Amino acid sequence: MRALRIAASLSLLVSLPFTVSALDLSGQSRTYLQSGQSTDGTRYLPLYEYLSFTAGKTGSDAVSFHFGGWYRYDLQNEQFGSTSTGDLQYAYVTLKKSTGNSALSFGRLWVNEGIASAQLDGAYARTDLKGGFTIAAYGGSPVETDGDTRSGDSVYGGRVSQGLPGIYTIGMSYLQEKNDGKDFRKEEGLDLWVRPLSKLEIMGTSSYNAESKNWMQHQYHAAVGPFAWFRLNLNASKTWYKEYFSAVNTTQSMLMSAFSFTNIDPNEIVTMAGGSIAITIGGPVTVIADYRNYDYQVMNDSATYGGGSVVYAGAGFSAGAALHRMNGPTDDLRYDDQRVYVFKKIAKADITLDFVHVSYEQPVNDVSDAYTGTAAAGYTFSPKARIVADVEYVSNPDVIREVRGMLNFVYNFDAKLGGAAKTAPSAGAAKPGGKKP
Amino acid sequence: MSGTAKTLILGSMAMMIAVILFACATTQSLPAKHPMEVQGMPVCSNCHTDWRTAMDHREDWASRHQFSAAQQKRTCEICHTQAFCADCHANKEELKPSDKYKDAPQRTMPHRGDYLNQHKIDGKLDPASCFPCHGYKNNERCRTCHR
Repeated sequence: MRALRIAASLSLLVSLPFTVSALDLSGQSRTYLQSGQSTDGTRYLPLYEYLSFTAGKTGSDAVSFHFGGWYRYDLQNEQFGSTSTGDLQYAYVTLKKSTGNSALSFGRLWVNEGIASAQLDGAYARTDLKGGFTIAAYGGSPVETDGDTRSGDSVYGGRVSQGLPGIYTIGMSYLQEKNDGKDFRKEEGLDLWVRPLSKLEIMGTSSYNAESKNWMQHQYHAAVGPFAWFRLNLNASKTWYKEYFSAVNTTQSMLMSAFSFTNIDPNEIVTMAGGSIAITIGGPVTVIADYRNYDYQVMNDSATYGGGSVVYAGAGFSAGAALHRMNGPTDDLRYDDQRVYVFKKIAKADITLDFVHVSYEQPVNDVSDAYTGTAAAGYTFSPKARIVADVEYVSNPDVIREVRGMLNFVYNFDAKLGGAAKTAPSAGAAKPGGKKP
Repeated sequence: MSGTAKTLILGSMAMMIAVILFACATTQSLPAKHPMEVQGMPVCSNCHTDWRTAMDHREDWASRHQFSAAQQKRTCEICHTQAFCADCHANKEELKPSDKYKDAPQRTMPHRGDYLNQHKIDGKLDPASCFPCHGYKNNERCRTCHR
């Protein structure tokens, strides 16, 4: 209810500047009816509605309102402890300037600035400055899956960066979060993007636990071109579990027990190194080989994950196949997975077949293989409306032969309020069944 | 001089410098929308020859988009609205992203197939990869077993 009140207040606020001028509205409604059963055999039939829209005068020197949320109602049996629930994903007003990439947003929003990748109810501002400098600041109440109330919860921080366009950017960031009025996280970050050669770029982040004064993680990526038909990706990271997971392990409420390890050494230090090679042959065909190695300092052991995939992406037809192996230190940490799919478009209709197989080296519940086969059929009525029906066959260590189904209706809307209504979605609107902008 | 006074003076000076630098910044903002409509997975190198060539959305894009998104978010916003990111990056989500887009198999979506059993292995070997999405957010269903 609180979220709805926030959304209503923001809607009212953003509508004020448009009472005398035209208002562009574009968005998408997605409705899902899912049929399946839980592991104890209970049938469920949840109906989901996802709604997202943007209203306002987009462009430079513009103010706009952005909304996204979903609601679920169980038509048969209760699925997740309540017949109905939902979530306000975001609802914020943004004011943008035509110069300096300056923007001020407030409401429920996401902040991605250096160390911060946070959802909050609050405000966020950023702008370019003279000399290649950029500053960003944010503050508010964090939106997290919290085991307690939001009373006394706060988060704030910012990032300062400096760079030369197309050459490099280096940034420093800070985040401080309180839970129930007590310190929860104090983190600092260093982020980097550098392009020393036209076909080489290096980027990544180092995060530092300002509470314990130790590094949490270094995570870096290098890409070597020429990119259009060949790419070499190199990845490396080092993670100190004690520091990286410290916030969820040392707080009063033990907020996330999945990361309060009982079967992993909480002092483990893991170094990951790996990469991938992607080669595009003649346009539609891409071949990718990938490999990762995990080195565990405390356990004094290692694991590898590697394999390859082939993808064909032509006009109206696409197909792919992938094969990977996870090779952990013990039998119970090893599996092979394979995937094959095809997609074919026939006029306004399209068909998808997708098959995933996982083979566990050590059987789980006396079952070694997990199969998931999906058949989906879609029909595009118009640029605005599309329907998809799918059937999924599942057999795995928890479920012996189950058939699930889902019906999905997508509707895009786009209108100019206070002016003539448009008949087709704009370039920025989502295409049914296609990529959403 | 007390610590509070020093903090206030330094904060005020920093704000003044920021205001002066802001007033001097006259660079044009990036456009709100990409000037040309892009269909399907964009191959930036088809038109661009500068640093944007590295942002080609090829088949390996999903595994490396996090780095570009962290550094080039304003560039992402030219084509993508918040709704696009929210499909996977959410605080509370019940539908797997791959379940929402079964008619788009070419899109790399996390947790396809039997991930319930697979996550027990991936989670032990690389829990840090789970944490950005399930650490502080989107972990209600994790708690049903991890108590």
